Amino acid sequence: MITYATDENYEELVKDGVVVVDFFGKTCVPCKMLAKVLEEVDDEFPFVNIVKVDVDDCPQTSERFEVNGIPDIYFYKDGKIAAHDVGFGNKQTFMDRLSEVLYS
Amino acid sequence: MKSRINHLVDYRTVPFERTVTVECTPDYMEGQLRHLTRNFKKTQAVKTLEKGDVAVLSLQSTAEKFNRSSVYVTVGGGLFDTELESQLAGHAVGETFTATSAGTPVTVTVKSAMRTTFPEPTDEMVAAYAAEHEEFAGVNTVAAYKEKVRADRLTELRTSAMYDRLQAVMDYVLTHSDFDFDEEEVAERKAAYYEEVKAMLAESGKTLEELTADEMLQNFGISTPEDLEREITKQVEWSIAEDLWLVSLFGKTGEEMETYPWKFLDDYIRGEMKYIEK
Repeated sequence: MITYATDENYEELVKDGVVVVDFFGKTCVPCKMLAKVLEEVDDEFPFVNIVKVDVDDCPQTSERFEVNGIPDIYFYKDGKIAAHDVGFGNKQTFMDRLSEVLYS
Repeated sequence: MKSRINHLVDYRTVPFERTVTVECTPDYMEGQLRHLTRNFKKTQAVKTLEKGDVAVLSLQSTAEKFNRSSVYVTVGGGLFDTELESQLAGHAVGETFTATSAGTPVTVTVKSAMRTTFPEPTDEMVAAYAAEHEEFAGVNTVAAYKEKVRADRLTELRTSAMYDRLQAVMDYVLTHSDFDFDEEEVAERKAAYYEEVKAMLAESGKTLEELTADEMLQNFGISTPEDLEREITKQVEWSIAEDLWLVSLFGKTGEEMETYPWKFLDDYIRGEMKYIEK
Protein backbone atom coordinates (compact mmCIF):
# COMPACT_ATOMS: atom_id res chain seq x y z
CA MET A 1 0.00 0.00 0.00
CA ILE A 2 1.21 3.50 -0.79
CA THR A 3 0.51 6.01 1.97
CA TYR A 4 1.34 9.71 2.13
CA ALA A 5 2.86 10.67 5.47
CA THR A 6 2.39 13.80 7.52
CA ASP A 7 4.70 15.18 10.20
CA GLU A 8 2.23 13.76 12.72
CA ASN A 9 1.78 10.16 11.53
CA TYR A 10 5.27 9.31 10.22
CA GLU A 11 6.37 7.11 13.13
CA GLU A 12 3.10 5.20 13.10
CA LEU A 13 3.53 4.39 9.41
CA VAL A 14 7.05 2.95 9.68
CA LYS A 15 6.74 0.81 12.80
CA ASP A 16 5.64 -2.52 11.29
CA GLY A 17 7.00 -4.86 8.62
CA VAL A 18 9.13 -3.77 5.70
CA VAL A 19 8.54 -0.15 4.75
CA VAL A 20 10.12 1.92 2.00
CA VAL A 21 10.07 5.64 2.77
CA ASP A 22 10.46 7.99 -0.17
CA PHE A 23 11.26 11.62 0.67
CA PHE A 24 10.34 13.30 -2.59
CA GLY A 25 9.70 16.64 -4.26
CA LYS A 26 6.87 17.35 -6.67
CA THR A 27 9.10 18.74 -9.42
CA CYS A 28 12.09 16.41 -9.02
CA VAL A 29 12.59 14.25 -12.14
CA PRO A 30 14.39 11.29 -10.47
CA CYS A 31 11.58 11.31 -7.86
CA LYS A 32 9.07 10.78 -10.66
CA MET A 33 11.12 7.87 -11.99
CA LEU A 34 11.21 6.34 -8.53
CA ALA A 35 7.46 6.95 -8.11
CA LYS A 36 6.75 4.67 -11.08
CA VAL A 37 9.00 1.96 -9.67
CA LEU A 38 7.29 2.25 -6.29
CA GLU A 39 3.91 1.77 -7.96
CA GLU A 40 5.25 -1.40 -9.58
CA VAL A 41 6.60 -2.59 -6.23
CA ASP A 42 3.22 -1.90 -4.67
CA ASP A 43 1.52 -3.97 -7.38
CA GLU A 44 3.96 -6.89 -7.36
CA PHE A 45 5.09 -6.97 -3.73
CA PRO A 46 2.05 -5.79 -1.75
CA PHE A 47 3.62 -7.03 1.48
CA VAL A 48 6.01 -4.06 1.26
CA ASN A 49 4.50 -0.85 2.61
CA ILE A 50 5.43 2.35 0.85
CA VAL A 51 5.37 5.68 2.61
CA LYS A 52 5.80 8.85 0.58
CA VAL A 53 6.94 12.02 2.31
CA ASP A 54 6.56 15.26 0.38
CA VAL A 55 9.48 17.35 1.67
CA ASP A 56 7.47 20.56 1.27
CA ASP A 57 4.46 19.23 3.13
CA CYS A 58 6.49 17.56 5.92
CA PRO A 59 9.21 20.07 6.85
CA GLN A 60 9.71 18.77 10.40
CA THR A 61 10.23 15.16 9.35
CA SER A 62 12.46 16.19 6.45
CA GLU A 63 14.58 18.31 8.78
CA ARG A 64 14.77 15.55 11.37
CA PHE A 65 16.15 13.17 8.72
CA GLU A 66 18.45 15.89 7.33
CA VAL A 67 17.09 15.45 3.84
CA ASN A 68 19.49 17.37 1.57
CA GLY A 69 19.05 15.49 -1.70
CA ILE A 70 15.95 13.84 -3.11
CA PRO A 71 14.73 11.26 -3.53
CA ASP A 72 15.99 10.23 -0.12
CA ILE A 73 15.07 6.62 0.50
CA TYR A 74 14.87 4.83 3.84
CA PHE A 75 14.19 1.12 4.22
CA TYR A 76 12.65 0.07 7.54
CA LYS A 77 12.34 -3.41 8.93
CA ASP A 78 10.12 -3.81 11.99
CA GLY A 79 10.47 -0.17 12.96
CA LYS A 80 14.23 0.09 12.53
CA ILE A 81 16.15 1.70 9.66
CA ALA A 82 17.72 -1.17 7.72
CA ALA A 83 19.18 0.81 4.81
CA HIS A 84 19.38 4.35 3.45
CA ASP A 85 20.06 5.56 -0.09
CA VAL A 86 20.17 9.07 -1.48
CA GLY A 87 19.14 9.41 -5.11
CA PHE A 88 17.63 7.00 -7.59
CA GLY A 89 19.92 5.44 -10.19
CA ASN A 90 17.97 2.60 -11.70
CA LYS A 91 15.27 0.07 -10.89
CA GLN A 92 17.64 -2.89 -10.56
CA THR A 93 19.79 -1.23 -7.89
CA PHE A 94 16.65 -0.30 -5.96
CA MET A 95 15.22 -3.83 -6.24
CA ASP A 96 18.53 -5.36 -5.11
CA ARG A 97 18.44 -3.18 -2.02
CA LEU A 98 14.81 -4.10 -1.35
CA SER A 99 15.63 -7.80 -1.69
CA GLU A 100 18.48 -7.41 0.79
CA VAL A 101 16.22 -5.70 3.33
CA LEU A 102 13.38 -8.19 2.87
CA TYR A 103 15.31 -11.42 3.03
CA SER A 104 18.73 -11.02 4.63
CA MET B 1 44.42 27.89 -23.77
CA LYS B 2 47.83 26.72 -22.69
CA SER B 3 47.21 23.02 -23.34
CA ARG B 4 47.64 21.80 -26.90
CA ILE B 5 46.31 19.16 -29.31
CA ASN B 6 48.98 16.87 -30.78
CA HIS B 7 46.52 14.81 -32.75
CA LEU B 8 42.71 15.02 -32.96
CA VAL B 9 40.57 12.20 -34.35
CA ASP B 10 37.99 13.44 -36.87
CA TYR B 11 34.60 12.59 -35.29
CA ARG B 12 33.19 11.78 -38.73
CA THR B 13 35.55 8.82 -38.99
CA VAL B 14 34.46 7.22 -35.71
CA PRO B 15 32.63 3.93 -36.29
CA PHE B 16 29.24 3.45 -34.61
CA GLU B 17 26.10 1.39 -35.15
CA ARG B 18 23.84 3.57 -37.27
CA THR B 19 20.73 1.40 -37.50
CA VAL B 20 18.66 0.93 -34.35
CA THR B 21 15.46 -1.04 -33.86
CA VAL B 22 13.06 0.58 -31.40
CA GLU B 23 10.03 -1.20 -30.02
CA CYS B 24 7.30 -0.56 -27.51
CA THR B 25 7.13 -4.12 -26.19
CA PRO B 26 3.90 -5.76 -24.97
CA ASP B 27 5.42 -5.94 -21.46
CA TYR B 28 6.13 -2.22 -21.47
CA MET B 29 2.61 -1.45 -22.70
CA GLU B 30 1.11 -3.73 -20.05
CA GLY B 31 3.09 -1.92 -17.36
CA GLN B 32 1.81 1.43 -18.62
CA LEU B 33 -1.77 0.20 -18.75
CA ARG B 34 -1.42 -0.76 -15.09
CA HIS B 35 -0.90 2.88 -14.21
CA LEU B 36 -4.44 3.42 -15.48
CA THR B 37 -6.03 0.50 -13.72
CA ARG B 38 -4.05 0.14 -10.51
CA ASN B 39 -6.53 2.25 -8.52
CA PHE B 40 -9.14 -0.38 -9.39
CA LYS B 41 -7.05 -3.50 -8.69
CA LYS B 42 -8.43 -6.28 -6.52
CA THR B 43 -6.68 -8.82 -4.33
CA GLN B 44 -8.17 -12.19 -3.48
CA ALA B 45 -7.12 -15.49 -1.95
CA VAL B 46 -6.39 -18.27 -4.46
CA LYS B 47 -5.84 -22.01 -4.10
CA THR B 48 -3.11 -22.67 -6.66
CA LEU B 49 -0.02 -20.55 -7.24
CA GLU B 50 0.65 -18.73 -10.50
CA LYS B 51 3.39 -16.33 -11.52
CA GLY B 52 2.82 -12.97 -9.83
CA ASP B 53 0.91 -14.37 -6.84
CA VAL B 54 2.04 -13.57 -3.33
CA ALA B 55 2.62 -16.75 -1.33
CA VAL B 56 3.26 -17.16 2.35
CA LEU B 57 5.66 -20.08 2.63
CA SER B 58 7.16 -22.18 5.36
CA LEU B 59 10.66 -23.32 4.39
CA GLN B 60 12.91 -25.95 5.91
CA SER B 61 16.45 -26.63 4.76
CA THR B 62 20.02 -27.00 5.90
CA ALA B 63 20.70 -23.59 4.33
CA GLU B 64 19.90 -20.71 6.71
CA LYS B 65 18.28 -18.63 3.96
CA PHE B 66 15.68 -21.38 3.47
CA ASN B 67 14.89 -21.98 7.11
CA ARG B 68 11.90 -19.76 7.79
CA SER B 69 8.55 -20.48 9.40
CA SER B 70 6.78 -17.77 7.44
CA VAL B 71 8.04 -15.75 4.51
CA TYR B 72 6.22 -13.64 1.91
CA VAL B 73 7.37 -14.34 -1.64
CA THR B 74 6.07 -13.06 -4.96
CA VAL B 75 6.14 -16.01 -7.37
CA GLY B 76 8.60 -15.12 -10.11
CA GLY B 77 9.23 -11.70 -8.54
CA GLY B 78 12.95 -12.42 -8.35
CA LEU B 79 13.55 -10.81 -4.97
CA PHE B 80 13.84 -13.92 -2.80
CA ASP B 81 15.49 -16.69 -4.80
CA THR B 82 14.94 -16.94 -8.54
CA GLU B 83 15.50 -20.70 -8.68
CA LEU B 84 13.15 -21.50 -5.82
CA GLU B 85 10.53 -19.05 -7.07
CA SER B 86 10.54 -20.76 -10.47
CA GLN B 87 9.38 -24.01 -8.81
CA LEU B 88 6.36 -22.56 -6.99
CA ALA B 89 3.79 -22.16 -9.79
CA GLY B 90 1.23 -24.98 -9.90
CA HIS B 91 1.49 -25.88 -6.22
CA ALA B 92 -1.58 -25.57 -4.03
CA VAL B 93 -2.19 -23.97 -0.66
CA GLY B 94 -1.60 -26.58 2.04
CA GLU B 95 0.75 -28.61 -0.14
CA THR B 96 4.24 -29.57 1.02
CA PHE B 97 6.89 -30.38 -1.59
CA THR B 98 10.63 -30.43 -2.08
CA ALA B 99 12.24 -27.74 -4.20
CA THR B 100 15.95 -27.14 -4.78
CA SER B 101 18.16 -24.09 -4.91
CA ALA B 102 21.79 -24.33 -5.97
CA GLY B 103 21.52 -28.08 -5.39
CA THR B 104 20.20 -27.71 -1.81
CA PRO B 105 16.85 -29.38 -1.10
CA VAL B 106 14.23 -27.12 0.48
CA THR B 107 10.98 -28.40 1.98
CA VAL B 108 8.31 -25.91 1.02
CA THR B 109 4.82 -25.66 2.52
CA VAL B 110 2.43 -23.21 0.87
CA LYS B 111 0.54 -21.61 3.75
CA SER B 112 -1.55 -19.13 1.76
CA ALA B 113 -1.71 -17.37 -1.58
CA MET B 114 -3.09 -14.06 -2.81
CA ARG B 115 -3.55 -12.77 -6.34
CA THR B 116 -3.89 -9.17 -7.51
CA THR B 117 -5.92 -8.63 -10.65
CA PHE B 118 -6.25 -5.52 -12.74
CA PRO B 119 -9.42 -4.69 -14.68
CA GLU B 120 -9.50 -3.96 -18.39
CA PRO B 121 -8.81 -0.26 -18.91
CA THR B 122 -11.72 1.93 -19.90
CA ASP B 123 -12.04 5.36 -21.48
CA GLU B 124 -13.28 6.67 -18.11
CA MET B 125 -10.07 5.48 -16.44
CA VAL B 126 -8.04 7.25 -19.12
CA ALA B 127 -9.96 10.48 -18.56
CA ALA B 128 -9.42 10.22 -14.79
CA TYR B 129 -5.71 9.55 -15.29
CA ALA B 130 -5.35 12.41 -17.79
CA ALA B 131 -6.98 14.79 -15.31
CA GLU B 132 -4.17 14.05 -12.84
CA HIS B 133 -1.26 13.89 -15.31
CA GLU B 134 -0.88 17.01 -17.40
CA GLU B 135 1.31 15.28 -19.98
CA PHE B 136 -1.79 13.24 -20.90
CA ALA B 137 -4.06 16.28 -21.26
CA GLY B 138 -6.50 15.75 -24.11
CA VAL B 139 -6.06 11.97 -24.12
CA ASN B 140 -9.55 10.59 -23.54
CA THR B 141 -9.67 7.04 -24.87
CA VAL B 142 -7.78 3.81 -24.27
CA ALA B 143 -6.74 3.77 -27.93
CA ALA B 144 -5.37 7.31 -27.67
CA TYR B 145 -3.60 6.43 -24.42
CA LYS B 146 -1.93 3.41 -26.05
CA GLU B 147 -0.89 5.48 -29.04
CA LYS B 148 0.64 8.16 -26.81
CA VAL B 149 2.43 5.55 -24.69
CA ARG B 150 3.83 3.94 -27.83
CA ALA B 151 4.91 7.25 -29.37
CA ASP B 152 6.52 8.42 -26.13
CA ARG B 153 8.32 5.11 -25.70
CA LEU B 154 9.73 5.16 -29.24
CA THR B 155 10.88 8.75 -28.77
CA GLU B 156 12.52 7.80 -25.48
CA LEU B 157 14.33 4.85 -27.08
CA ARG B 158 15.44 6.93 -30.08
CA THR B 159 16.74 9.68 -27.81
CA SER B 160 18.50 7.17 -25.61
CA ALA B 161 20.14 5.45 -28.60
CA MET B 162 21.27 8.78 -29.97
CA TYR B 163 22.65 9.90 -26.63
CA ASP B 164 24.53 6.60 -26.21
CA ARG B 165 26.19 7.11 -29.57
CA LEU B 166 26.93 10.75 -28.89
CA GLN B 167 28.71 9.71 -25.71
CA ALA B 168 30.51 6.86 -27.47
CA VAL B 169 31.74 9.09 -30.29
CA MET B 170 32.94 11.74 -27.84
CA ASP B 171 34.70 9.08 -25.76
CA TYR B 172 36.33 7.64 -28.87
CA VAL B 173 37.56 11.00 -30.12
CA LEU B 174 38.97 12.04 -26.75
CA THR B 175 40.60 8.70 -25.90
CA HIS B 176 42.11 8.16 -29.37
CA SER B 177 43.40 11.71 -29.72
CA ASP B 178 46.62 12.99 -28.17
CA PHE B 179 46.77 16.10 -25.96
CA ASP B 180 49.56 17.94 -24.24
CA PHE B 181 48.06 19.14 -20.94
CA ASP B 182 49.61 22.24 -19.43
CA GLU B 183 50.32 21.61 -15.73
CA GLU B 184 49.35 25.13 -14.68
CA GLU B 185 46.05 24.96 -16.56
CA VAL B 186 45.23 21.58 -15.02
CA ALA B 187 46.10 22.91 -11.54
CA GLU B 188 43.89 26.00 -12.03
CA ARG B 189 40.90 23.94 -13.11
CA LYS B 190 41.44 21.43 -10.32
CA ALA B 191 41.47 24.25 -7.77
CA ALA B 192 38.20 25.57 -9.18
CA TYR B 193 36.74 22.05 -9.09
CA TYR B 194 37.74 21.60 -5.44
CA GLU B 195 36.11 24.94 -4.59
CA GLU B 196 32.85 23.69 -6.10
CA VAL B 197 33.11 20.45 -4.14
CA LYS B 198 33.78 22.35 -0.90
CA ALA B 199 30.85 24.71 -1.53
CA MET B 200 28.56 21.73 -2.18
CA LEU B 201 29.65 20.05 1.04
CA ALA B 202 29.37 23.28 3.01
CA GLU B 203 25.65 23.35 2.20
CA SER B 204 25.26 20.27 4.38
CA GLY B 205 27.70 21.55 7.02
CA LYS B 206 30.55 19.20 6.01
CA THR B 207 34.14 19.64 4.93
CA LEU B 208 36.08 17.39 2.57
CA GLU B 209 38.62 16.53 5.26
CA GLU B 210 36.08 15.23 7.74
CA LEU B 211 34.12 12.99 5.35
CA THR B 212 34.08 9.31 6.27
CA ALA B 213 34.75 6.67 3.61
CA ASP B 214 30.99 5.97 3.43
CA GLU B 215 30.18 9.65 3.01
CA MET B 216 32.80 9.97 0.26
CA LEU B 217 31.29 6.98 -1.49
CA GLN B 218 27.82 8.47 -1.21
CA ASN B 219 28.89 11.90 -2.47
CA PHE B 220 31.45 10.98 -5.13
CA GLY B 221 31.23 7.23 -5.72
CA ILE B 222 34.82 7.02 -4.45
CA SER B 223 35.99 6.14 -0.96
CA THR B 224 39.47 7.68 -0.51
CA PRO B 225 40.87 11.21 -0.96
CA GLU B 226 43.60 9.78 -3.22
CA ASP B 227 41.03 8.21 -5.55
CA LEU B 228 39.07 11.48 -5.53
CA GLU B 229 42.23 13.37 -6.51
CA ARG B 230 42.82 10.97 -9.41
CA GLU B 231 39.19 11.22 -10.53
CA ILE B 232 39.20 15.02 -10.43
CA THR B 233 42.45 15.11 -12.43
CA LYS B 234 40.88 12.80 -15.00
CA GLN B 235 37.73 14.91 -15.24
CA VAL B 236 39.71 18.14 -15.51
CA GLU B 237 41.90 16.75 -18.29
CA TRP B 238 38.76 15.53 -20.02
CA SER B 239 37.17 18.99 -19.83
CA ILE B 240 40.35 20.60 -21.19
CA ALA B 241 40.39 18.07 -24.05
CA GLU B 242 36.74 18.87 -24.81
CA ASP B 243 37.53 22.57 -24.86
CA LEU B 244 40.55 22.05 -27.12
CA TRP B 245 38.31 20.13 -29.52
CA LEU B 246 35.72 22.94 -29.51
CA VAL B 247 38.41 25.61 -29.95
CA SER B 248 39.79 23.71 -32.95
CA LEU B 249 36.34 23.84 -34.57
CA PHE B 250 34.86 27.17 -33.41
CA GLY B 251 37.72 29.13 -31.86
CA LYS B 252 35.89 29.13 -28.49
CA THR B 253 35.70 26.95 -25.38
CA GLY B 254 32.37 25.47 -24.27
CA GLU B 255 31.92 28.22 -21.67
CA GLU B 256 32.59 30.93 -24.25
CA MET B 257 29.98 29.60 -26.65
CA GLU B 258 26.52 31.11 -26.40
CA THR B 259 24.66 28.03 -27.57
CA TYR B 260 24.89 24.31 -26.73
CA PRO B 261 28.46 23.52 -27.83
CA TRP B 262 27.87 19.91 -28.90
CA LYS B 263 24.98 20.66 -31.23
CA PHE B 264 27.23 19.92 -34.22
CA LEU B 265 27.78 16.39 -32.91
CA ASP B 266 24.08 15.89 -32.09
CA ASP B 267 23.17 17.01 -35.59
CA TYR B 268 25.80 14.80 -37.19
CA ILE B 269 24.74 11.66 -35.30
CA ARG B 270 21.03 12.40 -35.73
CA GLY B 271 21.61 12.75 -39.46
CA GLU B 272 23.51 9.47 -39.66
CA MET B 273 21.07 7.29 -37.70
CA LYS B 274 18.27 5.15 -39.06
CA TYR B 275 15.49 3.79 -36.87
CA ILE B 276 13.45 0.69 -37.51
CA GLU B 277 10.16 0.79 -35.59
CA LYS B 278 8.70 -2.52 -34.54
